[in-house]
Amino acid sequence: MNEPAFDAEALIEAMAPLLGLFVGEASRAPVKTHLEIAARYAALLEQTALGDHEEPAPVFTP
Amino acid sequence: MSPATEDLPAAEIAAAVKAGAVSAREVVTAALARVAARNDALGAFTDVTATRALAKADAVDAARAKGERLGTLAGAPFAVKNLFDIAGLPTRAGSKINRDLPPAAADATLVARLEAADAILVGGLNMGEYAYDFTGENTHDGPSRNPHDLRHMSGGSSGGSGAAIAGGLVPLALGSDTNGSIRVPSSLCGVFGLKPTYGRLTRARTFPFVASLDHLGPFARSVKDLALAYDAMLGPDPADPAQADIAPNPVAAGLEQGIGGLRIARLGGYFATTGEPAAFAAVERIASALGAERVVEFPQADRARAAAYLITMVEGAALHLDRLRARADDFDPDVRDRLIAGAMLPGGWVVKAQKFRSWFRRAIDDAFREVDIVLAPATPCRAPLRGQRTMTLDGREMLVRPNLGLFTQPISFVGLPVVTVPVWTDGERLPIGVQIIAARWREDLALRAARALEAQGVASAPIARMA
Repeated sequence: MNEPAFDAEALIEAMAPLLGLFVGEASRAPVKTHLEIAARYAALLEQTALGDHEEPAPVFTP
Repeated sequence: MSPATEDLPAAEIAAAVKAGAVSAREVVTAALARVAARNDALGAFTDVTATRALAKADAVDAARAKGERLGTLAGAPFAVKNLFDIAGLPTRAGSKINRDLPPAAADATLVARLEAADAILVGGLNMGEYAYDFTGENTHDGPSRNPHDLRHMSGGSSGGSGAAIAGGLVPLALGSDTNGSIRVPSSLCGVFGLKPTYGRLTRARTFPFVASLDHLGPFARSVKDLALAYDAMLGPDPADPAQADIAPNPVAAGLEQGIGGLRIARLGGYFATTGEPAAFAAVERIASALGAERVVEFPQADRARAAAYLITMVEGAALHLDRLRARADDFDPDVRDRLIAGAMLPGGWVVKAQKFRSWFRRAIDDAFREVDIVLAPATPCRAPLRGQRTMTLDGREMLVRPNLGLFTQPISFVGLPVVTVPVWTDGERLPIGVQIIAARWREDLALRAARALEAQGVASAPIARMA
C-alpha cells in the first residue's frame, strides 16, 4: 500500500482550476498553511480504526 | 440605579416595567443612549433599530396600561448577531457581500420569540465574517473591542454580542456557536453565555455557516437572564429541519435547585494541557466551589477537534463556493483563504470525520453515565491583543484565530449544552471563562450549576468600567 504523501502546492495547482478558484500570490502561502493543518488533522483521524458499519453522524430521515 | 438610566439585568427590568416603576420607552431610550455613547469605542453594534424599538416599547407600555399580562422579558432591550434576520435589513453575517442581499422579509424565529415575551430588539451586532472567526475582528466593520480593555480582542465570532453585554449596552444578546463562537467571546469579555444542545433551538432565518454544527444561544450578565431567554425561545419550528423532535425543557423555574446530588468532575487529558496557567486555575476555582474532586476524560478529544475542524472547512467552503468564485476580493482575506483551502479537501476526510462523530457521541454518552457535569476551560488564555496573530501555548507557537477554540470545539462537535461562566482574578483586568458542560438535552443542569456559582460570587459578569 502506498503511504499518502501530502503536497499542498500540488493540490492548489490541481484543484484551483478544477474548482474555478483563483489563488492570488498573497493567498498562496496562507492557503498552503491551512491545507497542511487540515492534512495533519486528517492524518490524526486516519489513525482511528472505525468499522465499515460505523454510521456517519448525519442520518437522513425521509 | 434605575432601569431608566443603567443597564440592569433583563429580569429586573421586566419586574420594574410590570410594576409600573419605569416605562418600556424609558428603558429603551436609555439603552439607545448608551449605544450612542459607547459604541464608537466598542464596535459592538452594526445596526441600531431605534424606530422599531421605540414602537415596540410603546406597544408594551400600552398593553400594561390596558391591564394586559406582560411577557417574562417585558421591556428588556436585546440585540442579535447580524446573521439573524431582522425584517427590513439585509442579513450581512459580518460580510461585505451579503449587504447586496434584499432586506429580510421577516425576523428570525428566535427574535420573534423574544419579542413575543415582550423583549425589545434594538439592533444587530458585529461579528467575524461569515462566523469563521474566534477573534471578533472584522475587516469591513472594524473590530468589536473588549470592554474591559479596549486594546484586547472581544473574541468571536459573536464578538459584538460579548462586547454589548460586557459594555453595559443591553442586558441580553443572541449569538451563534459552531465551534465556540458563543463560548469564546463569553470567556474573553467576562459574561455568561449558553450554547444549548445541538438541535434544541430553531435556527430558522439565520445565515448558516456549518449546518452540521451550527447552534444559537443567548449572552447575559446573569444566569437568570440566560434562563428566561432560553425558555422564551424554546419550541418546535418546522422551518429548521435540523431541530430535534424533543419536548421543550423550561429551566427558569428550577434554577435555584442548587447542585445537591449532582456528580461534577473536571475534564483531564486534552482539556488540561495546551493552555496558560490562568485557564486551568479558573477551572480549579470553579471545581473547588462545586466540590468537584474527580477528574474524567473524554477519550480522543484531540481527534474530535480535528474532525470538527475538517467538517467546518469542507461545509463552510461548500456554502461559499460560488461567492469565492465570483467575489473573492470582497472577502476578508483571512476568511477567504481558509475557505479556499476547505474547498480543496478530499471528500473522504469529511465522511471519516462524520463517522468519528458517531463514535465520539457514544464515548461521551458513556462518560456521562458516571457524571452529570464536567468542567473545562473555555479558552486557553485571556483575551489576546487585537491584531495578535500568533500565541505560544506549552512552548508551541500557533495561530490565534483558529486556536482560541481548541477547548470548545470538541464539545460542540457532539452538541453538548454548555454554560460559560466568567472568572476573575484579583489584580487582573481581564476575565477568563470556564465551560460548565452537561449531557445532551440537560441544559437545566448546566444552568443550575452556573447559578450556584453566581450565587456564591465565584462567577460574575460586571459591566466594564470604561474610561
